[in-house]
Amino acid sequence: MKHLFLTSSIAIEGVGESIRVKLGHDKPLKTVFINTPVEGEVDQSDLTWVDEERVGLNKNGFITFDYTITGKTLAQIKTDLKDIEVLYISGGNEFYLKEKSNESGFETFVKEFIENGGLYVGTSCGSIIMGTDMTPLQKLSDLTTLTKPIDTTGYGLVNFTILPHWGSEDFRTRWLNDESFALTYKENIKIIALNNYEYVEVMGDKSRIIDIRSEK
Amino acid sequence: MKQLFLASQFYVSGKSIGSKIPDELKRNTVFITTSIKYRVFKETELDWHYKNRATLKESGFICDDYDITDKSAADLKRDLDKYQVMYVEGGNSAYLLQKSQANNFGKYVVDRVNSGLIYISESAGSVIAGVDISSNSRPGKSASDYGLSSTRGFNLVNFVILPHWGKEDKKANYMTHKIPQSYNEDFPYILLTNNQYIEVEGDWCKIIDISKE
Repeated sequence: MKHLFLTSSIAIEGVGESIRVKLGHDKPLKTVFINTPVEGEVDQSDLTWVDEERVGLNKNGFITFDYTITGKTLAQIKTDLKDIEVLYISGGNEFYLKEKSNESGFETFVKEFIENGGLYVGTSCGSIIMGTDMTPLQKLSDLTTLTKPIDTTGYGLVNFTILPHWGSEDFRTRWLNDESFALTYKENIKIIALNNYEYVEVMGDKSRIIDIRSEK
Repeated sequence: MKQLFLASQFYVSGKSIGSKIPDELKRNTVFITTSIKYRVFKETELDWHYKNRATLKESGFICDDYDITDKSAADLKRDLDKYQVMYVEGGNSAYLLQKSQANNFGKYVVDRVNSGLIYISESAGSVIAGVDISSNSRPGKSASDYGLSSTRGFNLVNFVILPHWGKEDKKANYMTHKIPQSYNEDFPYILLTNNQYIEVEGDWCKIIDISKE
């Protein structure tokens, strides 16, 4: 059964811990850290947030190794990731990730891995990409790193779109502006606005929203 | 197990909801009217309400109307214990919360839902089922308008629904009031369009879009 953990930020203290408790795992899990979305960030000057994501995973038994799908074929990806236990996609630029997914066939790998019972954890971009429609996020990400026309479709493993970092001061101007509102205020998308202390656990076709502060 | 169907606009999604509830339960439904009692409407303003009633009827619900205003906790128990389904109409969630706080209607609902009562709602009825109603405030429908000391909802679910998302006639309300009021790190917010409803079973939920069924 499909089992996903879609976080706004795995770097927040308590998010990884909560997921570990939900899984009840007590052994190291070999986890691929797909860092391709980071490549799509225009500002590469401060990537401490990427390290913080790794810390959030590693200290909770998700033992990561970095991997990019850029320049890979589907066959290579399948070979390279054949023995992973957990698939993690980092934060970053979801449209850049989608472009690289289209080039490599990575989406096929993701769907097969999850449909075969593989565990998925995502942060921000890694949670957004699991939805069907990423249209509302166009203002959130810088699109200048794309080399092809933007593809706003997600992998479609969940039927809603996550707006991550909701309520955060760092993202206030990106969310609360007319352009973002115009992209979001539509009747054809299911939207969950998720703050950094919350994540969505997906089991089959059902979901629940966990606030780690209510678990303490 | 807790079972709820939280709609944005019931007459749009009600048939889908009705198809998921056994007929014998639907025949025993109470229609909570309080949310629309906050002012006197002209008949022409209640088109949506009559459509909700028609959809309930067409979907097999047989309803008795009930207004919780000025009822005691004992009245609620005496009058409502016999129902297996509760439908809470849209209208004004602040007004409904004021009336609920006066007689502990929220606690009654929570206890009943935990014992198997099926909760169905639209708009204000879905807002009050959530954690807090304050983000849905706007002039005339706010905590201060009704002297509320607390804006906590029934907490049947751990999120806040923002109903009628995407509707042109609600756009100004969202831009001016609801989005700025919701931009907090307090609760999860589900932006629910009129084509959608949330089906809740226990701790788990699904967002259903009837245009895609």
